[in-house]
Amino acid sequence: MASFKQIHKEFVAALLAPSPPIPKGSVALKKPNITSRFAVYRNNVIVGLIAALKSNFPICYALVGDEFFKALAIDFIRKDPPISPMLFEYGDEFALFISQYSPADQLPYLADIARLEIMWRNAYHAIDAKPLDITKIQQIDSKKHSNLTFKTHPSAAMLTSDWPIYSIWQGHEDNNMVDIDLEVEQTILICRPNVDVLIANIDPAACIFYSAIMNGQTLGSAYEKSMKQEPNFDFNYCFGQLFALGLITDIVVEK
Amino acid sequence: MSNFKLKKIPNLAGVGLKAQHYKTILQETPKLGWFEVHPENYMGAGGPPHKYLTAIRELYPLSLHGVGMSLGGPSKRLDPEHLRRFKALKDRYEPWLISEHLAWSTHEGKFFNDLLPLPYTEETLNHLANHIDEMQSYMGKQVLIENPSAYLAYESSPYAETEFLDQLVKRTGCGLLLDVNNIFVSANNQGYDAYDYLDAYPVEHVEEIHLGGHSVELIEDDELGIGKLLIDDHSSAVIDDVWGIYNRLIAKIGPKPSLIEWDGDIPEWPTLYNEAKIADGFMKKHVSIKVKS
Repeated sequence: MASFKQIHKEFVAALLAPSPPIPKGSVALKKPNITSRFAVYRNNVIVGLIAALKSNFPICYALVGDEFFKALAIDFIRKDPPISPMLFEYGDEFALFISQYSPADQLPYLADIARLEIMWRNAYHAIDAKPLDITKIQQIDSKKHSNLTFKTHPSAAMLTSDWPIYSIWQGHEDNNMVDIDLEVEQTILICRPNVDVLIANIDPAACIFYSAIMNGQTLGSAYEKSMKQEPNFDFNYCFGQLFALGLITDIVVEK
Repeated sequence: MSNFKLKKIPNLAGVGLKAQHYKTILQETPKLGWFEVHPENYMGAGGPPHKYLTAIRELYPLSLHGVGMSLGGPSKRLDPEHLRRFKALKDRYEPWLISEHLAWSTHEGKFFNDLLPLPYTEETLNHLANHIDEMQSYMGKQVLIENPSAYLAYESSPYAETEFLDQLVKRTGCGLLLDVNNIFVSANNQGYDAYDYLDAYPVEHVEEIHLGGHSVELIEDDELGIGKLLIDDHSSAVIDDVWGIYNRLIAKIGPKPSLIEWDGDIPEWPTLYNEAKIADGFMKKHVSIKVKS
C-alpha cells in the first residue's frame, strides 16, 4: 500500500490542477463515482479560496465583476495557493499577479486597487495603539516644536499611484463609480486609530510631510521639505490631519 | 489569574460567532449558553476582531474550533508557528473547549482550506496520535477531535472511523466532538446507515456536538444510482433527519454543549438564535425524561 506521504502528494496534485480530475497513481479510491466524489474536494478548495480572495479584495471584485474575478482568482490560486490557514492574509501577491495578468490590461489601475486593499487589510488587523490628542502638543514649550519627532500608529501607511485610487475607493464606498477622471494621480494615507480604517487623499506636498513624519524626522525638517516642494503647502491643515487621522501615538521631545 | 468571570460551557446550545452579528449580540445580550469561533480568524495582531471577541467573551463562555492545524497532515511535526498562534489565543481568551478535525488541510506549506480525508490505517493512527499528543501538550489542554464529512473513501482503510476515533481517545486522552450533520452526510455519501454509525461511535467521550445544514448535489457519473451527494456547507438550517440523530444521541448521553454552525449565506441573528433554541428544546426534553424515570 502507498505510504501516507505519497497519498497526500498525489491527492494534492489533483486538487488544484485543471487536470487530472482525480488522483493518479497509488491513491486507490473506492468506487463508484470517483470523479464526482473527488470533484467535491476540488470544488470546495477552489470555491473556498475564491471566496477568501473576494472577501479580501471587494473593490477589485466590484470593478471586474463575478465572471472575470473568478477566472483571475483561479489562475492566481493555482499559481500561488495560501501558505497559512489565516485566510484574511491571503493575497499578498495578488497585486503583482494582476499587474502581469494580460486579460486585465484594460484596467491598468486594478493592481493598485489590490495594493490599496492589501494595505486596508493590514491596517485593519494591525496591532492596536491609542492615538494621541492634539492638545498634548500645546503642553510642550513652542520653542521646542521644530525639534519634535513622533511615534506613528502601527496601522499607518501610504500608497502613491499613477491612478485615482482614492476616487475609486470612495466611489466604491458611495456606490457611485461614474464620474471618476482616470487621468488623475493620487496618493492615499491609511490609518486605523480605533475601529474604522480611515483613508485620506493627500497632495504631493502633504505626502512629503507625512512621509518625513512617519520616517521619524523632526517636525521642522518635515515642514521645510514640504515648503520646498510647494510654497503654498498648508501646514496647519496637514498638521491637524496628523491627529485627526489618529496617526500620532506619542511625541518625543528632544532632551 | 483569569481575565474572565465565565469559563465553563454549560450543557446548552451555542452558536458559531460571525462578524455580522457582533453588534446585535452586544446590544441584545441574548440568553445563550456559549459561542464558538474559528481561531484562524482571530490570529491578527489587533483591530476589530479582537475588540469584539473580547467584549463578547466577557459575557459568554467560549470554544475555539480550529480548521487549520492539519492533524492528519504528513509532516512529522505540526506547524510550530500555527501552534504558537493558537496557544496565544487560548491564553488570551481562556476557552473552555478546544477542538480540531480528523482531517488534513496543509501539504508542503500550502494550505488548501478544506478538510481533506485520510485512510484509516495503523500508519495514520500512529501519526494522528502523535500529532494530537503534540497539540495537547503544547496547549496544556485536552483537544476534542471532530468526525469529518466524507465524500469518498480509500480502498485500503482497515479501521472503521468510529473505531479509529476510539483508538485515538485511548492513545492520547483526547475527547470527541461529534458532528451529527457529518454523520448524516457521510452515511448518505458512503451508503451506510447513520444510526449504525451512531451505535458504533464511542459516545461516552463526546464533550461537544455540532449541528449544521448541508446541500444536495446530483451526481453526473452516477454508476450505482445513489443519485446524490450531500455537501456539508453549513449554509442552511438543520434538517429534521439530522435533528432525529441528535435526539437519539442526547437520549443516550444527556445534554451536552451543542453548537449551531452556519458559515455560508449567514442569516439574520434571530434565525440562528432560533436554531439554538431548538437544540435546547431537545436537551430539555431528555433532562425531564431522566428526572421522571
